[in-house]
Amino acid sequence: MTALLRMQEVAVTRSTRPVLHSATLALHRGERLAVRGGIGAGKSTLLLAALGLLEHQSGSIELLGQRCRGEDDFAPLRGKVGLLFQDPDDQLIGPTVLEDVEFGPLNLGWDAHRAHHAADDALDEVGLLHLSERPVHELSGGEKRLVALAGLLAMKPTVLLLDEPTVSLDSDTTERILEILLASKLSMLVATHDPLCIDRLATRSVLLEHGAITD
Amino acid sequence: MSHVHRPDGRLRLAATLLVSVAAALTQALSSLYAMLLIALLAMVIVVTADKTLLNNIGRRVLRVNAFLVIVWITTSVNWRYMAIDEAGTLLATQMSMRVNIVTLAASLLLARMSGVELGRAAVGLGLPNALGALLAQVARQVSLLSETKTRLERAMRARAYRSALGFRSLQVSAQMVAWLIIHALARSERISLGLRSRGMSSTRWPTRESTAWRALPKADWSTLGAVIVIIGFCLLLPTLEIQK
Repeated sequence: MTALLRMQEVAVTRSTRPVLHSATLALHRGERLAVRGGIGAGKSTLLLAALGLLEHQSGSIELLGQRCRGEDDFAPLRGKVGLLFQDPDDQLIGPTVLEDVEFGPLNLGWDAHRAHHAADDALDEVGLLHLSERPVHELSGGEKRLVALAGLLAMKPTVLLLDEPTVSLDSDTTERILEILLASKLSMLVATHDPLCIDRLATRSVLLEHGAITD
Repeated sequence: MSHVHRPDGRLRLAATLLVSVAAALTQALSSLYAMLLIALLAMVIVVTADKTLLNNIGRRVLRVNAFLVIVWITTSVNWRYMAIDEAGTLLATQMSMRVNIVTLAASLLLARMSGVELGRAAVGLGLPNALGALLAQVARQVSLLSETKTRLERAMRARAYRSALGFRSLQVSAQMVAWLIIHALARSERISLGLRSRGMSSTRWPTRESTAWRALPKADWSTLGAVIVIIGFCLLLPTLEIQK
């Protein structure tokens, strides 16, 4: 079976510190794979490396059936694979909610009308259409997380990579995010240490420990 | 991570200041050549011992020299007559050597020192506490801007952004600069609140007590001693040449 994402013995070093030394995993279509692990286990690094945002020193990464070695291989696939950052402040770039959600679709070369339409749909999906004209820096933490998610959904991805999607959220927003993710029917790789997120979302889970994946 | 012993911060800062002052004051080309040669040799030795420094120092030296190219273009050529300007060439040579000496000395002697350590070392050398705190804050804010820029760029790439020559790239770059300032301001506000809540004030800086000068290991003093001897040798070089 072809995996949407296959990482084979991937090693990543961040500023001289080896974080991953032999990470091996495969994410198949329709699967929601949770990567568990304690603080500093390298979960965020794993997701960043999976999308080529951090260089891997050894091992191999296959994304959507393509072997990816460097920036030129990863860049065209980034619209199809959405990455939700742990801190939405790191992810949001637009001055207003609508402009931020349009950012990704415009990067894919869509015309302004189509991008606008996709952004509206995505904001409707996360229930924030009424905030489209609100400046991003005026949003609450939970709203920022939902806008960041809408920014990914607007790009119509095939796979989602989610870095602690429910961390520091109240129970209502957590529930809302989990429902949106389940309703999206997308394949996803979720890095989390939240048991509720694993229970509700994951179809399978693996443990990341000492820079390697163990089942 | 390298586990090479690094001398006391105050001595390293003092050595850097001595090299910088000597390079700035001397006019003799032979002294500057000697200092640059020794700095380059020291760089090879240090980088061989700690290879992780190579990228950092290399990039810094390249940036400084890119700036020096502009200095050469503007000072060494008399553009009116399209001729080499001898006085300008001498000035550009001196400036190039001085800047490279200071860059290499600071990169090698202050390697892996954080803003706080630098501020602490400066206070240890007699800088008023408030100025030390300001220095540490400036270093922290500059690194904050750089961290924020890296994070934003990574997030933009994650959302399929690729810069190109065109209006949209220009627009996104302008947006990023604005966002960078907002982010950095918001984050610096949070950091400032965090520091204040832990007893930091702009005039009172809770510095860790420095090791007494007498208690410093001899190896630390010998680093400063070696730097003084090298500077002395380089500065005396023109005199030795005349006596020959």
